[in-house]
Formats: sequence, structure tokens, C-alpha cells
Amino acid sequence: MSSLWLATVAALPLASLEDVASPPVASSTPLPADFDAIYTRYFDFVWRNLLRFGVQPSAADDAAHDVFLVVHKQLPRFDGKNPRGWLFAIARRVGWHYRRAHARQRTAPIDEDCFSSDPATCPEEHRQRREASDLVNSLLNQLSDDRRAVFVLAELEQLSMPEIAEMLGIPLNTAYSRLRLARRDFSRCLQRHELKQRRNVP
Amino acid sequence: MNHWDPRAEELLSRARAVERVPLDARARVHSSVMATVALSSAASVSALAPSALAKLPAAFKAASAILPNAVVAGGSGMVAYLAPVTIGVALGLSAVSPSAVVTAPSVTRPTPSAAIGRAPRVSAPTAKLVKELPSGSKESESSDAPDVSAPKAPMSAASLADEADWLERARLVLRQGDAELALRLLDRYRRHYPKGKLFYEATATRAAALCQLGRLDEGRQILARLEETTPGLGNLAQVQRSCALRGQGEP
Repeated sequence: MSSLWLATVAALPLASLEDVASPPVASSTPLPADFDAIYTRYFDFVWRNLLRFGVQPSAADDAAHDVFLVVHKQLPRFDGKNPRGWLFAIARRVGWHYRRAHARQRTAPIDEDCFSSDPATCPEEHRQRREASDLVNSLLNQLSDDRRAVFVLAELEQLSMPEIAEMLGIPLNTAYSRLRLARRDFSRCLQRHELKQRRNVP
Repeated sequence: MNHWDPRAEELLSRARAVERVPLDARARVHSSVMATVALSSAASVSALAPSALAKLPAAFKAASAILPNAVVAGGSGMVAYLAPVTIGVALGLSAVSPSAVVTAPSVTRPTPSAAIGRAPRVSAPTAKLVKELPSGSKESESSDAPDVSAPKAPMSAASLADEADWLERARLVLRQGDAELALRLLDRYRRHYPKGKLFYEATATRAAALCQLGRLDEGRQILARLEETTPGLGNLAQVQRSCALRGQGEP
């Protein structure tokens, strides 16, 4: 996990993650007053979407850390409009970098984190509970990045299309078009997955 | 647009229902972000004013006070907090990643010693010195293996603050001119934190102490290694200048 994080940071400095917003400010700036408010309100949102953008559960802490470091650094220049869209853009970019770093390190062990607080009940229950979520995330990995963004916001975050268009800074019709294509792709991927499952069943 | 694929919709509905963030992730990540911010602030200030280093422990304590439960030694196999990572490449920050919340024996946590060990061209005395720094402590058992299975104590923002306190004490006596005592303090720091998060900073301080004692070659060798491995280290340039000045003053 650390090695992935290190590799990500080494190969792709955070500076490259910051072009979603404004230039950096001095690192010695005091903690922005509303950083905690943003963190509290949007942490779950960021976390969920990092996983949807292909970050491995074992690296989610690190990716969330990177997202909120960027947030902290850029908050003084953030105009306050559309915070969810801003965070989504940062998370999307961080997720992309982690995904790429992970792809380069296929040999690294994938730590399928168990999120249960009780290790004794974790393995079986965890598997059952997260099966659907894991499957969705793996199917999402097969969508193109632009379509995936719209699909995630529409189908998983359940935002309205005008909201999504505004968050992503794209025309409404483009958003609808991407959603339509993403749904088609997702359906196909699901069908392929089910077909494969059926073949594997004796 | 409704009912585009009933099976896919059903799957998505189930995924939405079970999606949840790990209970302690929020506190864990917050703590690490605060520690990174505090560390970067203190480091950037210290480059200008040595006295500002005193802010470092306070900043970490403040960070840990924000979330007293940030030290999560949870029952889910989460054993240790934070590998020491100095990001020279990004932001100029010394950053602390939450990744050292290790959960499985398969995790290979990169240690500062491992990072140092990978660097090429080391002269024998420096290699010996560097080798003994992070993991060669007599108190640390099986120091070659990553200690993910049974950590001595859970690390946290609070332990980071303690580490910073140790280091600040060494720097203080060094500024007061007692390099011998600074070295002894750094030895004790090393024994307490064989894989400490402030390893590189402590190593740079050791180099400064060596230079101050006139052991310029040893000090420079360590600095050269640090420059190779962690060029973005906050106090490196300052120590290099200090050693260079000592060198110029040599008879």
C-alpha cells in the first residue's frame, strides 16, 4: 500500500494534481477556517468516488489524504461555488493517478480491505455485503473516464442532470449523451460478466 | 431514461445500499492531513528561522488534539500509523501518508532505511553510520523485516509530536553549541524510534552535529546521501550551508 502511494507520489507529484484549480499558495498558510467544514461534509463523498474511480480500497486512505491536501492548499483561492464539483474534479484526477500507478504495479499485492470493525465477522459478511459494490466498481473500470464521471454522479450519487452538467462544466446535452452511452457500456459489461459467471458454474 | 436495464439498476441499487466509508477512515485521514500541514508549515518556517522549529511539536499536538481519537489502533488489524514519508517532489512538503495504517502481513512498508539502502555509491564509514541509524538499534529485534505484524506501539499524530520533541531538543542543544550532547540525544531518538517518521530530519541534524564537532567528512557524506535520497528535505540546505561554513573555517 505504501509502495503504491510512494510510487504515485514520486512519479506523479501533487503539483500535477492541482491543475484542476488555481496555482499553489504558500505551504505555511494557516488552516483555512472552513476546511474542517468541507472535510466533515464531503469526506464520504470523496471517499466513495475515489473507489468508483478505480482506487483500490487499500489505497483509499492515501488517495483521500492527497485529495484533502490539495483542497487545503487551494481553499484560499476557491470561490465557494460548486464545492461538490470542485471536490469531484480533484478526486477524479487523484483517482486517475492512483489507477495508473496501480496498473504499473500489477505485481504488488492487492489488499482487499475489510471494512468491518469486527475482524471475527469480517470475511464472510464483508464479502456478501460488498459484492455488489465491488462488482459495480470493477464494471466502472471498463467505462471511459468521461462517461464514468457522468454515470457515477447520475446512478450512484443520484444527482440531477443539470447538476451534473454544472459540476462537470459540460453542456446539458453532452451530459445526457454521455449518460446514455455509459449506461449502454455498463449494461454490456454486466452482461459479459454474467455470461462469464454462468460459464464458470459447473 | 428510466428502466434502462433492470438488472443493472438492481445491482446499482444494492451497491448504493452497502456503500459505506470505514468507521475510522475519517479520523485517520484527517489526522494525517493535519500532521502533513503542520509539518510543512513548521519545516518551511524553520528554513528561515531556526527558533521557529519550536512550533513543530506544538503543531502536531494541536493536530492530534483536533481529533483525539485519531490514534486508531482499531480492532480490525489496523496496527500502526504512518510510514515516514518525506515528499520532496511534491509541494515541497514533508508529507505524512495514512498508508501506514497497515492491515495485512503482506504489506511491505518502505522504511527510511530501505530508501537509504537503495542509494548508490556509499563510502564505508557513511554506509556504516547510515545503516545503524534507522534499524540497527540493539533494542529493535529482527530489524530487517518490516514490522507490520507486531508493532511495539501504535504510532499516531501524538507519537509524531513526541518524536518532534526529541528532535527539537537535539537541535536546541546543537544551537547552544553542545554537539556531543546533541549526538547523544539523536542516539536516544534512534533507539526510541528506530523507524521514526522524522528519520531524515534527524539524520540531517546528526550531520550538522558532526560538522560542528569537526568531523566534516562524516557529516558531508551523510549530507551527500540525503541529497541523493531526499533532495527536498526542509533543513538540508541549511545544514549544508552550516557544514560548508565550518569547512571554510578549517585551518
